[in-house]
Amino acid sequence: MELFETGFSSLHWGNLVMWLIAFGFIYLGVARRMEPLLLVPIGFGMLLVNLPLGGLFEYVGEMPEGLLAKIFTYLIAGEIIPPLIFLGLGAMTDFGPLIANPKTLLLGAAAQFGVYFVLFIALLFGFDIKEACSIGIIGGADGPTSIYLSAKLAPHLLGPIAVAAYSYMALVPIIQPPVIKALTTKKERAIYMKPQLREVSTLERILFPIMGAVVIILLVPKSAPLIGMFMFGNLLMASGVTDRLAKTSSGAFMDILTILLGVSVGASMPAVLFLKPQTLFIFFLGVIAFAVSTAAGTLLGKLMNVVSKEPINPMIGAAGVSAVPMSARVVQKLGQEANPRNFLLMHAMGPNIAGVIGTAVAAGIFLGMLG
Amino acid sequence: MVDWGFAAQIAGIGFLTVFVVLGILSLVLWLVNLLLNKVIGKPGKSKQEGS
Repeated sequence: MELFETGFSSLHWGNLVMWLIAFGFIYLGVARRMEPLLLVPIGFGMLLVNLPLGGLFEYVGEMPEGLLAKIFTYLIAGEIIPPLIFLGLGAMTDFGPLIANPKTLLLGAAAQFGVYFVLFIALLFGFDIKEACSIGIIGGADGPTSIYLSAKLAPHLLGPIAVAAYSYMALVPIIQPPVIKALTTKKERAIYMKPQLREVSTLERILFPIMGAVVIILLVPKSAPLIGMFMFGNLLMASGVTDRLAKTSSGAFMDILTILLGVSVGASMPAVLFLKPQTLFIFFLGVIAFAVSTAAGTLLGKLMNVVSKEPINPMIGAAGVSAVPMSARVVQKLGQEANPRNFLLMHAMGPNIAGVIGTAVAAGIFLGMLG
Repeated sequence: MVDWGFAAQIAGIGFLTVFVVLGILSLVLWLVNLLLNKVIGKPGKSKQEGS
């Protein structure tokens, strides 16, 4: 019996491939500044778990033994962290643009189309219905919702789905522009929208999370953990009397959750689980879902521009996916490229926030039907 | 064997419900703004109009 064993003897080529992927994530985060708060922890978690014999993601039977396995099992698969991240998101989200222009909620609904489209494609690829729904939700571009849903419907696919969802959220500036440009003319992209939305009163800001929680949860009860926490976090901010709680929820608390989520999601990618054809299918289907969602939002934006009295730049529909605020920033950038006078950021924030709500509602509906 | 009918039901009902839920929320927001305008005055006045 050996007294001391190094990891070299157990090193497998698959580990080396995973190192390269991990370095890629860390490089994108550090050098390219692409979603560093997500990609750096995910990349490092991926690296750690692919250093043999470390035991960080070890299970004995069904019981987690390693540190990151415990965090993953109890806090992520146990559905604690995703709703709490929604609390933090709510506390840092300004619903003003959505309240000022409620019809943008419809753009957030349209941009869920990719979720349902890919559900069918996933079935064709041989996934079962629960797996297909979990893969489809990647199209919503919402990491916590993707994790929450797959933990319930397809826990064995949680790792690849989480990494795909967060990767595509980080890759919004690469994936969305070609889709938007393919579906709009330069004239449409240059459509000017008045920079100022109407002023939203404090009372409206306080009423929205209360009404939103009541309406949505009554209609889709299974969305309660996500929508409930999202609206609660927002009420903490909007009320103006719970500043300490709002600051904690959106600050240190959110940072802690992000660290735990990022590193343990990355750690759920040991080579033996990740390097399978199934994972590649999930990544492929995820990007299709995301592109189709972007396209559907843009097309509804075009339709709204035709029927609306006020001109609507169709690109704001593309921000109906939930990647806040990256999608809105992409729209702002493309808008200024086409017409330097345009300032679309606030107009795009409405659909962007609606997309967060829409994806959580879509997940709640899946859970209501299949959970 | 894939039950395509069931899948179509989930996708169809699901997508429609997302639209209905967000549509209702949109309507509620519009009604609240209308009500507040009547009761309190004009909180929804455009910043541009004001300037």
